[in-house]
Amino acid sequence: MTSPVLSELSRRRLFIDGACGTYLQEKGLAPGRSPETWNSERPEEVLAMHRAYLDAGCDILTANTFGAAGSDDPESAAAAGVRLARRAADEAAPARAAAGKAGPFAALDLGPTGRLLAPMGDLPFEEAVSLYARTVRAGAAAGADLVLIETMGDTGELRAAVLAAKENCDLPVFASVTFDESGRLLTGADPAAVAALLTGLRVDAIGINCSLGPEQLLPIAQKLLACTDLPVLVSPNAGLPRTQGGLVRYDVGPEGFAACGARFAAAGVRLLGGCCGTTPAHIRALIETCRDLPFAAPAPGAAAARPGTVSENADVSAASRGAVISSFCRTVTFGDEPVLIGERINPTGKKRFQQALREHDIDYLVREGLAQEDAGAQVLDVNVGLPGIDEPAMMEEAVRALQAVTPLPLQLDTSDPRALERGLRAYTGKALINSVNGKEESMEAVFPLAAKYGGAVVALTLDESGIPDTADGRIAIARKILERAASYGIPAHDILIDSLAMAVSADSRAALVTLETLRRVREELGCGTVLGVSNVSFGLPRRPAIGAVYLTMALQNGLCAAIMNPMSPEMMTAWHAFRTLAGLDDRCAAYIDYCASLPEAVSAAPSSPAAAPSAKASAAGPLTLGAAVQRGLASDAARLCREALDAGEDPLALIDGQLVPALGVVGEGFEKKTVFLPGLLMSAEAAAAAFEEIKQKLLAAGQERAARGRIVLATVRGDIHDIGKNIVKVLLENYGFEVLDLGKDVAPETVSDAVTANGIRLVGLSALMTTTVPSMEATIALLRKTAPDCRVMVGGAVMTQEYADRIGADFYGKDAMASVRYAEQLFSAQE
Amino acid sequence: MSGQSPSPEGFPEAEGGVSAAATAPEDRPVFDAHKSGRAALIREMARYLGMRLPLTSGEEETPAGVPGAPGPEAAEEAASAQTQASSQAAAMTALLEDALDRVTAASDFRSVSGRFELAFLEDGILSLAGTPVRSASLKRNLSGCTEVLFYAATLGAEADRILRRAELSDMALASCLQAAAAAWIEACIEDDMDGLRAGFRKEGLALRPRFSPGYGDLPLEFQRDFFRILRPQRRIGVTLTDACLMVPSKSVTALVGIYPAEPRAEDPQL
Repeated sequence: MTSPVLSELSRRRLFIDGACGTYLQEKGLAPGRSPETWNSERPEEVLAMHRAYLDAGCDILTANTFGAAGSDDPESAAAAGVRLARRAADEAAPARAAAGKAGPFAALDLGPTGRLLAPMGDLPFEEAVSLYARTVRAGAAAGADLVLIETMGDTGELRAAVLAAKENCDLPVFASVTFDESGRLLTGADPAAVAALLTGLRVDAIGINCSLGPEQLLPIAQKLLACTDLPVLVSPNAGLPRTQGGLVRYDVGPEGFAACGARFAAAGVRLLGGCCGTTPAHIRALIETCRDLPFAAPAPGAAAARPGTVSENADVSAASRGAVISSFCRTVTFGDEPVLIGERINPTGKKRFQQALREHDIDYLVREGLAQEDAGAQVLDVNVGLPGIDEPAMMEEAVRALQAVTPLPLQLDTSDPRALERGLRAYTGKALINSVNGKEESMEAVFPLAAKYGGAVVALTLDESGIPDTADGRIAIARKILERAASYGIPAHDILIDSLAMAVSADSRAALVTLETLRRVREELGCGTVLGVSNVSFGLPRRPAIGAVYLTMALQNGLCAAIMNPMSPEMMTAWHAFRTLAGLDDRCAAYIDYCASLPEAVSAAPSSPAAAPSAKASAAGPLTLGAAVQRGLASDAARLCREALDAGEDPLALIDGQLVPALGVVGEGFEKKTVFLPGLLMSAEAAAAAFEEIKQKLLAAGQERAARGRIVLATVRGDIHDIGKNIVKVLLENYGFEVLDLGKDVAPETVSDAVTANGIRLVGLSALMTTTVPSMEATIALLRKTAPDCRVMVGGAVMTQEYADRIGADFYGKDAMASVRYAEQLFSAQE
Repeated sequence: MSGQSPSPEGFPEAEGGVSAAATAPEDRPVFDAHKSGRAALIREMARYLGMRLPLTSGEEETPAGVPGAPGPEAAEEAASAQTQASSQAAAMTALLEDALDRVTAASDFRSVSGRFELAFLEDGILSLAGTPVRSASLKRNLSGCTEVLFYAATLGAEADRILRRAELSDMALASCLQAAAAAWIEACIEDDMDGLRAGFRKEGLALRPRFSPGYGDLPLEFQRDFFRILRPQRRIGVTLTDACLMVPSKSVTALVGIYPAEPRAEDPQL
């Protein structure tokens, strides 16, 4: 059963109404008052507005509920607004029916909450979903015909609204976003990323509205049209907003607006309306101009995105594009150019990574991701499965932490469906799911999740009877998986077949079977391919040499994406060489750049580009480890430390003899104001790089460095900026303390629990704003009750000695070094 | 300090505010053409970081951030320590330059402003866009004004993202990015305000200096009213948390008094 609005949309172009806020302000709505207040205070004005737009001929009324989800009472605001639109629409229905048209329709309008999602802002994702869910349930109950999500500037909030609509009603969902003149959302997504996200979530129409005038939106609409087969909606402003003497003006009149509307219609836009500055006159002119223009029937494949209706005639245009995945801001397409998926976020066989997972050191995991991005990875595989770890919770946390700092799309790598769902729900984009296989159990668990949250899926060619020895056997499984995916509405172009790289040391023909399967998947099934190439060399010496040649062979046989180690010079050299020889590297530029970046090309590898001059100027005698730390040369410090350890030096002697004295000199320099904050931090980073080498060495020997003491650090509730706390953390760790970092926006109870559970004797709290000092005070008060022996040091921009005394802190750290000194004094006194 | 979020380690954080018109693209400050210039921005960054850094182009050899080397005369005492000091100074300068480049590349400066009613009520209470406010320092700032401009600006979400990223991978760079962002948004706002002043001057009006929620005795909580009135969320994507922090963090809000300009006075505020 198709909804009336969708069936009408399949027959003709539909028109949406124009601005609401602009209209009501003309009628006397005071600035600073939300338009929703008039649903109860001045309902006759809201009704009059709806009627005016209906008189202009529009098909879809947007209820006056734009700000409902962000208001104090979402239910009442949504219900009151929808009821008025419903009433106006019902009044006009008989006349429309007489003219042979369905409608008009009342849309529950969902705008942004006005808050930014965590981790950038303080609104947790599920709380945003819940605000929209309450709005949707009330709006649907009040008689809405569809849900129109609009003016979204952040892909995270957009997802929250769409999921809430899908989970709480059966109405069609239209989703519209706001691009700026550079063609990006406020948080960075381009039209392709928005299209991938919304197509994956299976909305019924996608669109753009607000921010710009019709002239500026046209090229953006064309990009969107090229990325999707869903109906496209456009509601421009009446021109570019312009401030004149502090007032906003829109310059495009009804005729100009309508003329642009015709160009949108010709480009294939199937829903047209107006946003800020448009009036019933604009909408009337738009409709009169565009009503009788030819209407392009929906593409045959458009239905493919709707559940249950997919299959043989799957959408040709989208399939020819290949699978598209996205992050919060960008897309990666699996097609003609090979894609590099970094495999390093994975604990298998890595002691240091396992330790990080057990210690809940998410930063370590994120750094592994950033290093791979810098090395050229285009997608990051995320595997956090380890016995004894709560994998679903860790997967969600890892996804949130990674997408806060990297624009790369993620590949969620887990065999636990609960971990997959947690990861997919948290992921702001269309993920790559790794993996499904031919087993019933696997397909039943994975495909519903891919159908709900969107995602391309890696399909392993194995099933209940194991891994076939022949390419025929593997192709048969691939076919079975594709058919099954189609029954969930997942098109073939969203499946990437993994023909399984097996150890050639176990079977000398293993590599050939995989390569044959790879080639035939591309030729016979026409879908994409992916391969974890590292496995092939298992059990052999000089593994990277085997891996590099195998990668080349696989790429030549049609591999679309390689899951590999971008930190391996052999693999990366093969990767770049292949791209160059395959004609994918214009004038060999990428290859030449890559070679210039190799260690042998850079005489002294600096810690950062900025530190290069120091490294070059190290003419005055050989560099010692201590000097490298003092001068903040991180990679030199790591190298010298590694060399000393390899030469058999005692790790603890290195710490006491080199690292601690060097840090002491820098710390004193900072206190005497001869070294400044960046210099202090450069030294801290260099020491951290050396400590990391020592940690690895000790770990390999089954030892750990004894900490001088354990300290809990947190930025208090309400405070979401934590650079100050992070600086203190880096220094404390350098000085040999173990830091339990609780992060930012931390509730008093969380601090107290961490302190009592771990027998902590020192807590550091940071507050940036006057408005969050009360949270700090509450945290201290709670700690006094639950852990009376624990000391509390405080710091942060607004903090002063006087403030610290007033809220009962034990110590005020005026800067990061002061905190270190206090910790040293406290723990040495207690020893 | 009761004011807007000064950031840790004493970086001046952006102040806050919002209004109703996004700046048109051609009005965006362009880095190369910026009047305050690169050297001035680097000096501002050094000031925020508490560094003595008398750098201008061509002075790369000046030891910066190095104890006991306040000027060129000290630099002449050539010694191996000196060589090291100056190479460290060069590294520091390179770090500041790199940070500034990253911030300007990641920034997407936007602003919005709106013009609202101003009234002086009894008992020292002001009325801004119909909202009563008690603040002696704001009242002083706005005395003689006839209207008030609500102004908001931001460097955007990407600037925050590169900061978070640097905090994980390179804390020294992170501290310099903080300083660069603070210097850059101030420079962008100054350019922007010049444009606004020119517009008002045509109407015979002039602008007072900016005054942000959290300054003086104007509580930071006034941000809630400010956001309700100007709605910068909608136009430039600046949002307010429950604790009145602005996100993206490199954002500024301000109230700017509008008053009749003296006839023939050039521009009393410049």
